[in-house]
Amino acid sequence: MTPREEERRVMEQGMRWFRDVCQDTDCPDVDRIKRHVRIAVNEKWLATELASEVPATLADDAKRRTRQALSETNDRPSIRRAVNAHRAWRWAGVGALAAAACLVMIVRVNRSRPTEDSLVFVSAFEQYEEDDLTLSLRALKDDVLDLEQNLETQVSATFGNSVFDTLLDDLDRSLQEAEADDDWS
Amino acid sequence: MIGTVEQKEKNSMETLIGQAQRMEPEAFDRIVDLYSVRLYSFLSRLTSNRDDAQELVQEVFVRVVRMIQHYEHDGRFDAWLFRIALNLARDRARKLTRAPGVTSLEAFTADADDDRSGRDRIADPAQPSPQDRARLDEDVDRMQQGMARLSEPEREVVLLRHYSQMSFADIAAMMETPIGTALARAHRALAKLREWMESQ
Repeated sequence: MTPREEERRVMEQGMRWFRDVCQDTDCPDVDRIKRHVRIAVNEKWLATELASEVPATLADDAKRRTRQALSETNDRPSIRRAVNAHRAWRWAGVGALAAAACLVMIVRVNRSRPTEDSLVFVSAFEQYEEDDLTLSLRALKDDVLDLEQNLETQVSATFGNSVFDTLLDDLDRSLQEAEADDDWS
Repeated sequence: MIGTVEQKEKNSMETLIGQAQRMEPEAFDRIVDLYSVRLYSFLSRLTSNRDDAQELVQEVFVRVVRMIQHYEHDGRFDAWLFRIALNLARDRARKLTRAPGVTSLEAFTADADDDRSGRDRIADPAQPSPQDRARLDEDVDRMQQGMARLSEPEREVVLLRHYSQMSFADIAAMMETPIGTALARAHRALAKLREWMESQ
């Protein structure tokens, strides 16, 4: 046995001793870890979608149309975009997180200087505008409320603390307007 | 036969990583099932704090989600995972050191109490008798105190070897030291631990 082999033998013997003494008797909260991992997967998935799923031609057209829409002073088109974007996510079978994230971005687009990403994202789903799907503003609000209850901490951490308040205020106002005006959409 | 089993395990790990890279949630559940206990034990020994270890394990897996698409499987997923864990634990230690009025020894002493209550809280009734249990708790506490007396590199090399099941060569590579240094640290650490345990 070479000195190095002897060294390793002694070391392995030492590690066996360590294993015998160092007995671990408890475990982490695996369910909690899995919940956090699921949220991270959703966020990652969403980020990937934002980065790559919108085809270039569609994105260019969407950007143009959104710039045009955003140049309008009337707030109504932005609400229609929100509904259509939400509709699109629902149609695609994506979970509430994605839908609400989409809405959050729409609110941001309309409340601050729009970024290229959010323009592309929002506008791409305008393509679904002509789909004959029935989704009310109230249902959209319910989804956001559900999301707020379930994922408030995580989503707030991602998108900012007051974003849901802002979103819900907007939706409340729009809902009242919509109920008073059947022709809103 | 052993070769076949190893090959199957390797293939199934490759499949699992592929699924994770496609962001399939079930793959991450499986990875958590496979590694969370080992990571938790590793981190709780390294930090001397079970609450911190829980947070760090969670953060390790979140990092895995964010970085898995950049991981190229070379059969050493364990090494990749434990490197993330080690880096996160080191970051935490640096933050603790920078926190005013907190020394590592104070942190350790406070955590040792938390440690004991945490273990009691989740004790498994199917485990040894109360007397055996008490003796085991004492041993574990002594071991934890002994670990706290090691230098950081000594502690890391022993824990990596035990929990990650990496070879000393891989550990040396991860710690960016020659293998002789890694072996010497492990040797020194084990000798100190033995001495500590026997003196108590």
